[in-house]
Amino acid sequence: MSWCVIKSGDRLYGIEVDRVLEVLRNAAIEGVPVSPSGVAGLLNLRGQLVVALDVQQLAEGVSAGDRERVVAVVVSYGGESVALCVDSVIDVREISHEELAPIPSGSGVEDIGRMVTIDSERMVIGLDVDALIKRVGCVL
Amino acid sequence: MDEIVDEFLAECNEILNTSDEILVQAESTGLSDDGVSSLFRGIHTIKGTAAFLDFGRISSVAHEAEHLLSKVRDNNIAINKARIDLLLESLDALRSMLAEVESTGRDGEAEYTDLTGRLAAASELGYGDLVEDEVATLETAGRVFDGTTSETDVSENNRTPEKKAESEQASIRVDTGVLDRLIDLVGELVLARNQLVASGVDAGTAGQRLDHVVTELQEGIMKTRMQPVSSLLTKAPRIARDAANVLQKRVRVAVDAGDTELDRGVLEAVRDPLTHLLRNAVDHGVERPAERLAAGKPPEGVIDIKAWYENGFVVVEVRDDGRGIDPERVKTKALERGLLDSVKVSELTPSEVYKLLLLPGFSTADTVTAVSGRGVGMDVVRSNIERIGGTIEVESELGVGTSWILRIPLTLAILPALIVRVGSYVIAIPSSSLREALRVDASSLECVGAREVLRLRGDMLPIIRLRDVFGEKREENAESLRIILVTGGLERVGLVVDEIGDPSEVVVKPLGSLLSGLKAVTGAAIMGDGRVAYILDMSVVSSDTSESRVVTLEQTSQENESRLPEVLVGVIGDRRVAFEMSNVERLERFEKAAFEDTGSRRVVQYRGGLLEIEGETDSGYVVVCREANGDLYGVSVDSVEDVSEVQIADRETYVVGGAVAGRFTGSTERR
Repeated sequence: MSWCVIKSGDRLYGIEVDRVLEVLRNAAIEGVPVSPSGVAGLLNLRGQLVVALDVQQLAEGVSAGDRERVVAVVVSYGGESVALCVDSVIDVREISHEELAPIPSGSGVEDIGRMVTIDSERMVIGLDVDALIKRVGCVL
Repeated sequence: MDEIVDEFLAECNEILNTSDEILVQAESTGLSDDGVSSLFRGIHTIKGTAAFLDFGRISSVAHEAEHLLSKVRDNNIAINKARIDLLLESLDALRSMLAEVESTGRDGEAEYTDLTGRLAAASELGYGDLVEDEVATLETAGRVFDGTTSETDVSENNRTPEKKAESEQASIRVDTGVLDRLIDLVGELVLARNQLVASGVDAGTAGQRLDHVVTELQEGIMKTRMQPVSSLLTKAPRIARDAANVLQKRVRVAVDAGDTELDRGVLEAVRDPLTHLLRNAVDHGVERPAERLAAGKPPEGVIDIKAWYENGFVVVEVRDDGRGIDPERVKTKALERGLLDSVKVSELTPSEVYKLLLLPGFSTADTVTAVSGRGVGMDVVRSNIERIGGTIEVESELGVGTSWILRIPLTLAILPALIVRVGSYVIAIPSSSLREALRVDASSLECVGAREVLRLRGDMLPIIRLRDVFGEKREENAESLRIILVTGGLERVGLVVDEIGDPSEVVVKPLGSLLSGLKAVTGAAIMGDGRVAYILDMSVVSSDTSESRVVTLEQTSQENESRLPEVLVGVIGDRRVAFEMSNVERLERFEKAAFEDTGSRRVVQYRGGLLEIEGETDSGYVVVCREANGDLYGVSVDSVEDVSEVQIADRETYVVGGAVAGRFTGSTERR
């Protein structure tokens, strides 16, 4: 299984490549008035408006702050497209499902993914994208 | 296989609709040879395909109907009302079996042996011919129904189905998702062109050509979504006929939609409201034949449905020649239902009186009938029409008739709107609700209850600061305010904005499921410069004002403007809320355990009943208030400050009681 490894804040996350539609390196986003928490704004993807989510806020409860330009990983969600705003895209890795271990509870991210150590030192949280997106409106 | 079935269903539905139209027309003007063969061909197709797909029940009903039609076609029997009724019943039976196929893939369990039996009987000579008053009915229509209708009938009445059959061959079915994607892409192409122009690149004649092609491409793509309004109205005669039969009335529907076209989405959105208006016209508008004769009118009522273009909208008018609406009766009902007080009612102009019909909970029908009059009436029509950016008006003359006028935007995809700036956001206000733009001194706003109001030409207009709505901080020390007057619901409201831009046509985009709960915004649009504009939800504006409306009016008349009544000041979080003392019953403190959750709301046991609690605060303090109708409700607060008279200078810090009570009352009633 291929995973797209991304960096957000101090952490590394993995997103299944099958879910990734495209990666935008320098996407302009616009603020949304009175939007639910975790929403960074809207992004114009060739005439289609796509909701951009703040991955750091959804995963850690800490907003990455207002940014006008972001790196966005566009993923499929139901029949729609949703953009996940991250700091950078690092790599694409082969990680099998057996390698992924449950995350200890109490960490705040145990329900949105499973973890794996790569390069024998760095921890990557393999994201359950749907679970992450379901946190919209429910984080601080 | 599924694809074949889908094709079959779509084809059948088209055939059934056309057949409906021909049969209902036949009732008043006779059945032409062309009409008969069109019906025959349609039913024959259904029969054949159904047999091929092994839908035996559909096939057998279609077979008997086809047999009857073949006899009519060969002039062996004449068409009459009884046979038309029977054929319409068969169409309904086919329709319900097709619906079954659509949902389960099979043609259902229902047996129509009774229907097929009657169809067979009707194929014999003499069926239904002896019922005298039916013959009379047919004769008043001015034609004799013997299957040998004159040549003029053919040319006048039955051209349409034939023409349709031809145009169907020239069209193909396209997935609407593909069309929507094309619209997105063309919008983006327009954007890229604009950016090219703005960047100052001189592309010469090639640039001009690009310009023309893009514009034409955009128009062309938009056209693919357009459908004739007449396709929406094909069912109207049938709907009116069925309603009239139930109510023992006689109604003829005349449809003239000209060449008007609407976007598919809009067409679907007005289908239900139009059906409702039509049934309403039959039920409440048109009188019974005897009553009509007594009033010197022909026994058959006429409902005229017309559609035409006007100022970028399609106007649809549903006009009946019935008894009209009595303004006095409307006023009485409005008073009974507590929608307005007597002072206010007496001041209303006739056109304002008719607007009352569009308020929630209004129905003048004295009895509930199967057709309409359940009190969920015109306000639903109104909100459905307003949701798509349209408007509705009523005109009526007692004894002469009533007409409902809908103004409907051509498309949901392109919205004519005024662009304004509110804080850091670009907001599009739908043009359909715009009235005027003003610039006023900040000091000219007055405060009544919780609301700011503006006096304009003798009217009190509620003011909404859009910065509040969109969660932006208010501008400090603004000397003059830019105000856009809009009609939100039934009310004129002033919206305070920061900057007024140009009117423009924006391409509306959906916001996706994650933002579907967004308040105050119905969608977004990408502007010519690539920025996102948010489309203001006019229903939020109207519900925001209507809840505190009565309170506002009462207070205006009763109080002088510098002082408000004595209030109890409560603290909820960082807000201070004032309760008008005349509404406050008691201040209570409950144990935490006393609060119970009933799922949607909190309640406590109080004076042998349940007291509904508004607000989330759990300090235990509850201000018990009394509604105008005597019911009690509670508002939970953190603490209570004191009883005081609030001066107008303090208005920024207080949300004043009457309005708070009014809002809570409003929401309580609605549940």
